Amino acid sequence: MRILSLQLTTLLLFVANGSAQSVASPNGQYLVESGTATRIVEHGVPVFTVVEDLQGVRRLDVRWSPDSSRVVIAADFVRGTYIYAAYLQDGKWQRALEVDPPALYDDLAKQAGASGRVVKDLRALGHWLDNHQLAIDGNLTFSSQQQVAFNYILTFIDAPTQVSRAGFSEGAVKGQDFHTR
Amino acid sequence: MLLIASISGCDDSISQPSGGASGTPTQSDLTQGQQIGNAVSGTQLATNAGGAGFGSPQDQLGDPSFFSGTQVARIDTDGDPNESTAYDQSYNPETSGTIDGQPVDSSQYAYVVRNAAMAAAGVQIGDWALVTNADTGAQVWARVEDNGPATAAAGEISEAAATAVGIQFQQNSNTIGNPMVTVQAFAHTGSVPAN
Repeated sequence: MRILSLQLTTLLLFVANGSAQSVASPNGQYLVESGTATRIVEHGVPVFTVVEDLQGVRRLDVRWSPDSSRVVIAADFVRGTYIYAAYLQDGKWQRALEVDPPALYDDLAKQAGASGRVVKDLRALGHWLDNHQLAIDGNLTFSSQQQVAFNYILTFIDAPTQVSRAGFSEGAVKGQDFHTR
Repeated sequence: MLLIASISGCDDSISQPSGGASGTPTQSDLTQGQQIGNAVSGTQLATNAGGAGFGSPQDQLGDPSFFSGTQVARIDTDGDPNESTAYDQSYNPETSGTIDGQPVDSSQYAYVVRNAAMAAAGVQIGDWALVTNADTGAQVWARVEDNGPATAAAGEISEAAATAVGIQFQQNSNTIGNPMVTVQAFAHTGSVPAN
């Protein structure tokens, strides 16, 4: 089951070379398409913008949930990956951006015995544990040039959330169970 | 190894070099800012003591979309053609933003580095930001021109922004002392032209 959902949702979108591809949801109803922005398209019509600003993005990676109600998009920049998410709520798409606690890097450094400040934080989307939880792998580079690999679970929180002025649902996705590897 | 930063006037004024930029600046829109300092020690004249080449916004920007709180200043040397990983191991020749298709030179343009919290506030590459030296009150207008680690504290600024607010640093990007800054960013202001 996991292998199947992985196969359905592991296409990569390469933005840098301009040859953006679309990634279909498992049920075929939606596409994630990327041009100047990254949008959800339904029956050929863009219905929702997830990522407006793709400047500096080197690669996008997309994972649809097995039930097609959620999608996670990892936007890779040179020094960091930002994790965007979109989800259906009462028939309408909402979006969120993972913002981890400020103490995260200190906690991971402590776990790994690393020193210095984090200069690079790259993450890679893994497999869905269920329709609400996605496994993610990460790798931190510290100014001391130490590398620390870690993993965690990105969880969609079903509780009502506040939508920011920028249109992101605050707290709708949350990184949990961070561990160094 | 070399002390190359410079000191500008550490007053409460906002540094407003001549020239400016639009949302998608071209080289001809921009001046390189004024030379505002010299090396503070060592024998070499500061090569990274550039100005704040984006100027200041022509219009009122309204309330900031993002406020960093007081943070330790960190220097991003990315885009500076005179830098290398031999000095700054975290150096990258590229920046997320570009000017005429080229990386934004950290030594010449005052810019700030975005993190995920800023992105969640709607701040995009090219938007205006205001950097304040929390110790002196010196300020400089900057643009958001690079993306950093998602969870890094805001407060990472270009060499030119640091210089403009009187923050000293070494070629390895380490600051002298423990300077503190605040960063305010204004979402969807990238198209606001500079004075």
